[in-house]
Amino acid sequence: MAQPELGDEILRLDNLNVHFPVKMPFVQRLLQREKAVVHAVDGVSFSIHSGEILGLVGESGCGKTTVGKASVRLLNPTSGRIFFAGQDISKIGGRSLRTLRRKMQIIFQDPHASLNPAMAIGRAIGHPLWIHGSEFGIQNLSSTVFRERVQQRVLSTMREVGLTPEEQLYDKFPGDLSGGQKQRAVIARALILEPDLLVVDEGVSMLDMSIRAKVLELMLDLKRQHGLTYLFITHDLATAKFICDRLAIMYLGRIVEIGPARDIYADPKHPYTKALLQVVPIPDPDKRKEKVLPRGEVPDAVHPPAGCRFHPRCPAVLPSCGWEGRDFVDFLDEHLSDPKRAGDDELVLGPIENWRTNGLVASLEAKPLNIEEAVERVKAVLAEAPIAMAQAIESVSTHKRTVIIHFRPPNELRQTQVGDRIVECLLYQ
Amino acid sequence: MGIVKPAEAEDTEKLVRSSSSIGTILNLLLQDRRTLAGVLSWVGIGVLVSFVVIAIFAYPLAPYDPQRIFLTPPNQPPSLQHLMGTDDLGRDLFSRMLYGARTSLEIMTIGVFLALAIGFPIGLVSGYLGGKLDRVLVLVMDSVYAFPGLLLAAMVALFLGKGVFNVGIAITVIYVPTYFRVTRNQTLSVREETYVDAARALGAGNWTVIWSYIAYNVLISIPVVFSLSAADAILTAAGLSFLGLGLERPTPDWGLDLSDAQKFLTSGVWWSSFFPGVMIIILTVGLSFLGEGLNDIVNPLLRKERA
Amino acid sequence: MDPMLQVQDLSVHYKTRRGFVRALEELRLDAIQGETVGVVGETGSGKSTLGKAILGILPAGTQVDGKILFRGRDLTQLSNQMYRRLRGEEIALIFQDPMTRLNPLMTIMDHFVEEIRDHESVSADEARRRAREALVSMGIHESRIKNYPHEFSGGMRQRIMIALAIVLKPSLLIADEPTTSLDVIVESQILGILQDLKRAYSMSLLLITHNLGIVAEVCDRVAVLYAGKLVELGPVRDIFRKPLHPYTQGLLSSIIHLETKELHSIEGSPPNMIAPPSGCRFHPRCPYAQSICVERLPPLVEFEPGHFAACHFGDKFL
Repeated sequence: MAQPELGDEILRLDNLNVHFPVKMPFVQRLLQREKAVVHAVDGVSFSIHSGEILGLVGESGCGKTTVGKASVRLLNPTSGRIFFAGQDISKIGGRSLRTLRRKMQIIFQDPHASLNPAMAIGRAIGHPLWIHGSEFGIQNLSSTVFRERVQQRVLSTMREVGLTPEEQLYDKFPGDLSGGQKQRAVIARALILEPDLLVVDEGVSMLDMSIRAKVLELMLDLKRQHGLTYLFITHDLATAKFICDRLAIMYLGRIVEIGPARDIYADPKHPYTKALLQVVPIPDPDKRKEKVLPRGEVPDAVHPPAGCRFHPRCPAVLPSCGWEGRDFVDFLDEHLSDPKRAGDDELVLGPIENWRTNGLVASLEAKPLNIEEAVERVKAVLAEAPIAMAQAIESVSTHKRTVIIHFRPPNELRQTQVGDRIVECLLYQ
Repeated sequence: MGIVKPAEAEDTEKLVRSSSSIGTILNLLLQDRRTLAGVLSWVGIGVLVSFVVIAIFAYPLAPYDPQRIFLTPPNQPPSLQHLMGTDDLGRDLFSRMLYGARTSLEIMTIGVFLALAIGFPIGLVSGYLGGKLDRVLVLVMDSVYAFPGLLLAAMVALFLGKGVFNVGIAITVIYVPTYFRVTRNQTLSVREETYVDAARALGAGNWTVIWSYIAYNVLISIPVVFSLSAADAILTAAGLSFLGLGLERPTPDWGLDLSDAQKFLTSGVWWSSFFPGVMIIILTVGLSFLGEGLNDIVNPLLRKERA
Repeated sequence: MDPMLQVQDLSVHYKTRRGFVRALEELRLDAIQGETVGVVGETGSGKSTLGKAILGILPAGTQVDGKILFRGRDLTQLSNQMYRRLRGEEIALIFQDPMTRLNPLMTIMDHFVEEIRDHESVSADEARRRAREALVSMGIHESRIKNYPHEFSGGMRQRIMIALAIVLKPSLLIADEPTTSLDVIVESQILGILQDLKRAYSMSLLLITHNLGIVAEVCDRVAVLYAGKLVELGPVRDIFRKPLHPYTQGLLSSIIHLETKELHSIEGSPPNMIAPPSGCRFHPRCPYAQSICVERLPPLVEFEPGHFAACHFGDKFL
């Protein structure tokens, strides 16, 4: 495959941030001075050029859906800018935004939920034309001429997306259609406005395997015929491989690796990308293998880990990746909850609630008489800890009755150009 | 952001289930004839339809003019000539019951339809737009709702004066908050549906979204409230008349007749209290049956739509 | 070895408003001790119905025919009370979405104590001790045992569900799409846990899934269901190397994986289960369909040792 000629820039995100307030009870809101926010998207930048398919890949909670919704301004960015065909759309609203929606469409994961159960398929697909009717120079929307034109367009679009026999399906309701047909209807509805950009959010993952390929092929066909540009959001690297020109891997609100799809599949750089590629199931019982998986799950995005957000789970972590006080306390908690490993450590270092953390520092006001022992125990626990974390500790000291653990400040994490791609990882800095 | 949701995908019923619309409710009613909910609903429909027929054809059906005073002694017990006897003024009770159905249904229709016509759109807009407007409306509606219904209606009726239309308005005031609340709550949940997001992404403005994507899907939960509040409205109207705040004598009205008849109960004149009471009970119970039945039939449907 | 579970000619028909949905039709399946059997199918294949039928949790009014023999006992004949004892103690189920199965008002500990004491008369302390053991073995910190379900992440909840399912050491574990609502990395973790458990307790595992990739990675044998019929059954290697039923072939080639060079799919869509197609239910979508396929229901034939398929032309694909 030759490198496709880069067309005009269709979409560009410039340091996009989307934060959501954390919902909490009224009293708690009064008591807490600092407002807790979910850092759904934290400084994401990329651009998509005309005729290109950019895959945005990550696990749930990584912010990929939020990026998709913000790109078509279904969500308002907290900060940062969004350019659509050169125009800054991050602040526009009202009429100008609604007019712009003709040019950018979004397709959601669940085709069933995306269709109004009370609207017949033909009407649903044609509805965008009614909504934007005045922009086509039509004054009288109820005129028979317009109505007939809409119907003809709907029928031809239905044919184009393979929603046939179109005459029969026209008056059917979503409940009468199969999953694949519903997704085709959703695609037809998005397509009828002839958009330039199509955001596809997990557009095939709810479909049965045997029809998934059909819908993917349809999307590729439409790209070729209409010069469509896609932002293809998915958790499935195998699907992305088939359809995407470029790939952006997201983890906890940040893009950790972005570049040509071919390069990333051939030689993933970021340890998270490697992990994701590793867990794609291989449909061959003879190729079973043990996997080295990242530990645990994606942490919550209210207080994302310092430094590289992947560092607490990273198999290739360095001492300089962003270790801090709470990483130690998390590890200690894990240690104490395993009776075999913990022994009587709980008596000296527990309960875990007594530990205080503040950035690079973790501290414990030790029980009387055993401050020295507490230090010894901390050191013993550290001997079992990930080597990178142990090495990141500057000192274990005491102050009066308090054990204090100091971490070294992490190295600054920068996005680094590696060949054709950008990686955010200290290994490549 | 899971993948396939087979628990639902496997839901074989869903595979064969068809569109949802108000017509669906009728369809379900037809299919569910044998279930308890179906029987209740059909009994309710039967009662309602018979009363509507009675109200419309009160003139040919009634043997006498309801106002006509017979010169025989008043308070005649039921006989072949007067099927339900006569009241203290010597008027034929049977005829008065038939015409009373007309009065009751008129009041009910005015009250409940007006309440729906006001509460439903306000609820839609308030629920969809949210914000300050919503908060103010909720506060107002909740304070009205918190008032005891009959007391509120009595106050309004006192203020407006007697008459069918005025009693209808008094009842409207009580039920606007009910429709508002039901509509708003339903709107709040429909608003979160993906298809509403999808409509916004298509460029639809607020009114288009409310009208084409939300209203219809909220409307499906209205018939239940409608029948229940109609039943309640009949009782309230009767209560108002009983208290002397409803209609002008000699309008044929069950509540009014009941009120006039009760003082003769002690002297053994049971029929003039009994028949108005029975009429009120049959119509309210019928409407309640319809409401409860519909609730059982429609709600599983709503659950499935949201699943 | 005698099979631990034998499903014989199992038919399940749901009553719906529009008629009987034939969710399962004369299904045959068995599982021996310590074996992982994958049950694969798409929307409407009846795979979840199978799990529910074995566990006796089908909705009331469902018509069940055939036998489900578990250690020689026919489960379809069990009284409700017997069934309740059996569930959890001998057969346990893991659902797709753990949150819907955990009571939000009960702590994790309460769930365990209730489950254990429902089945065995042990002291509360003993129940708590076993609960703690089960949770720690699943990698749940002891400090969190008093927490409520909503305080856990999806993966954690699924671990809790697994711990809850195995706390009574059942001999058969049915997992209905256990990882479908989870992220890919957590999915891998959970599958690893299931494998370890199966080995540790020598349980049988019935893994119900739509994901053939998972089947290839963890199953010993596979049953492929289409529209309520068993179309193919055999050792996982045979099925993946030499699928005999055109549906299995189509399904396998439509998997999208990292080596996929070309997309494939099966024409058409799954049939209406109230009036399924005549003959072979797959014939309207089958590229090889002949007139016999429309007329006659293909029997399940053993084409190779242990490898069954229900196709008139199965021998052509050998």
